This record gives sequence, structure tokens and C-alpha cells, in this order.
Amino acid sequence: MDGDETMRAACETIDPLLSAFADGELFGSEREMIERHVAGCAVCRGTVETYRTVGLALREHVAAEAAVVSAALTWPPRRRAFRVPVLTPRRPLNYHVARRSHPWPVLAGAAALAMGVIGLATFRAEGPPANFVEIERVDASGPVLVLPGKGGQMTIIWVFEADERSAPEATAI
Amino acid sequence: MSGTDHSSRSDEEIPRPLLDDEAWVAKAQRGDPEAFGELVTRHRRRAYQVALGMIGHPETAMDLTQDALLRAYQSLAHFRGDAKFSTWLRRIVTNVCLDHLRRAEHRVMAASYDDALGEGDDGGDAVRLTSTIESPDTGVSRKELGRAIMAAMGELTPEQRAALVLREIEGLSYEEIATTMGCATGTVMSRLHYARKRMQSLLREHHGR
Repeated sequence: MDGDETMRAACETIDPLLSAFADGELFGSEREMIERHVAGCAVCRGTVETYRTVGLALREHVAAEAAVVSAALTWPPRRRAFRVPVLTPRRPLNYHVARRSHPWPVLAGAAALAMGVIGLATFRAEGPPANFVEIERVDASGPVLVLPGKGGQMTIIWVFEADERSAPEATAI
Repeated sequence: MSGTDHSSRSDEEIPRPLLDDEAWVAKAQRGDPEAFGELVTRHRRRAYQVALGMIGHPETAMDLTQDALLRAYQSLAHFRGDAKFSTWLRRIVTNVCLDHLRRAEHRVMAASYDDALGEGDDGGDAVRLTSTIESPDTGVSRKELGRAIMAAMGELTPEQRAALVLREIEGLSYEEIATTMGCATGTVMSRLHYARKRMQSLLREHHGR
């Protein structure tokens, strides 16, 4: 076996370990053996460099793509089937349950306070749709689940589309 | 999880940045409407990065991220704090994406990546990409290389993609990846090896065409 064949044989032996070597996941004598080989083998050295380059490029690419989306306070609409979680069965969620908002009739001469009282009475009378939890009333066409973020900023909202035939669907906005 | 003692004062008295995930989880489990929103704010971006790395398509990745967040919200009662919240959420995101990939019979992702690649091709990319792979410091843009790499990702098995993303994007150790994916450390090593060999081969093919 000449020198080239010896080197190729060593490469074939070491190749399955190069990925772990590039990740710093080899230790002791195994690591030392590969370090010695890579120092003298341009092919294996190139493979390790490629692994690292590809990893870096993947990381940068995904981070750049994610930065665009993550910068938005809210995300585009998404439909979701949703069932209300029971976080603590003995202590139900302390969420405000609101029905879907609807336009209040504009009554000339009615005081704002009176309208609020009427609205509250109406809300309590109707109650929430089955399987809905809503935290905050918002101007939306359907019931909502709002998960507020810092300082009252909305972080994520699931707006449910009324569909009595099936499980409620939600839209995150 | 590390135990932070909040017993001396109520959560309400502690400035938000000082509350750790554990405290927010506890508040969310008690039904505080803002608490899960805070957790979403903190972890949404990383969750999306994992999904995007595994899926490749931004819209679908966003979709699956929100699936995962919903699943986390619905499962919050079962979260006991044996692991960090971020670890728990990462596992959920990974599983949601793996389920999606396994359901998708064949390489839908690869097709979408090919489309994405086509958008920026100027005819000279192949030669320059080749030189970049061979020599990382040459002139081709990272963006072009990133697109080529994402296209190659579409040819990997779901498990290989997950292992690669958890390693390269999340920076997890092999042991942590094994925990997240519910497999042996040796399996992680094997998946990463085959994933990278396949990627190397695909990138060379791509450059040569």
C-alpha cells in the first residue's frame, strides 16, 4: 500500500467522525487522532471547513429571514382549530369572557353610562360561545383570544370564526 | 429548573424583565392573561427560526410556529418545570414540524426552495457558489449560499433536518438534541453525519449544473 492509498484508507475511516469533530463533540484520543489527520490532509480539512461554512450560512440565512417576520407585532392571519385549555381544573381561567362585538345602536340622547350598563347586561345574558375563551373585547368580526404583551401591547390574537358546524377556528393576527 | 425565590414580594412588584420564564409560566398557569403573551414575546422568534430551518417555507413555518404556540398554551397545565420552558417549547416546535414533514409525502419543501432559488439566479451563481463552498471567503453572497443550502435541506429526511437545525441554529449539544428528539446521542451523530454528507453532495451537484 503506497502513501496515497494509506491516506485514502485513513480518510475513509475518519470521514464518519468529521461531522462530530467539526461540532467539537469528540474528545480525548479520538479527537487527537482526527486533529493529526486533518492537519495533514487537505481533503478532510476541506470537508470540515465546508461543514462549518454551511452551518454558518444556514444560521445567517434563517436568522435574516426570521428577523423580518419577528419584527412584526402581529402575524398574518392563520386559521386554527382551538379548544379551551383547562389549566387548573379546580381554578378556572380568570379571563374575561366577551361575546363577539357588534355595533351598538346609536341612540340619540342616551347617556354613555347607560349604554355601558345595557351593554354589560346584554353581554352577561348571552355568555360566551362554547369552547371559547376571550380576554379582551376587540373590534373584530368574531370572538377573540388575546394574549397581551408588555405594557398592554397585543402580542398575539386568535380571532375565531363562527362556525357552528365544527370546532371553532381561530385566526391569529 | 433553577428556582428563583419570589416569595419575599409578589410578582406584581417585580419589574417584568426580572421575572424569569418560570415565574411567567406560573402566572400563566394561574390564569394571568398577560403571562402567556409575555412567554410568546420572549420565545416566538426562536421558535420560528427552528420551524423555518426545518420547513424552509416562511408561510408554512409561521403557520407551524403558531400551531406549536397554541399546543404549548393548551398543554401548559401539564408543564411541570422539569425542563426549562424554552426547552419544552423547542421540543413542541420540533415535533410539530416533524409531524408536518412526515405527513408531506414528498419534497414539497424542495420544490418551494427550487422556486425561491430561481428568483435570484443570474446565470453566474453556479461558478461562484462552487468557489464559495470550496473556499468560504470568496466573493459570492451569503444570501445566495443560504438559498442553495436551504434548497439542499429539502432533500434531507425530516429527522436529519431536525438534527441539523437544532445543531446549527439552536446551537444544541448532541446530548441536548438527543433529548429534544427522543433518541440516542449516537443517532444524533449519525443523522448529522449523513445530513452533512448529503448536503455537501447536493451543493456540488447544484453548482455543477
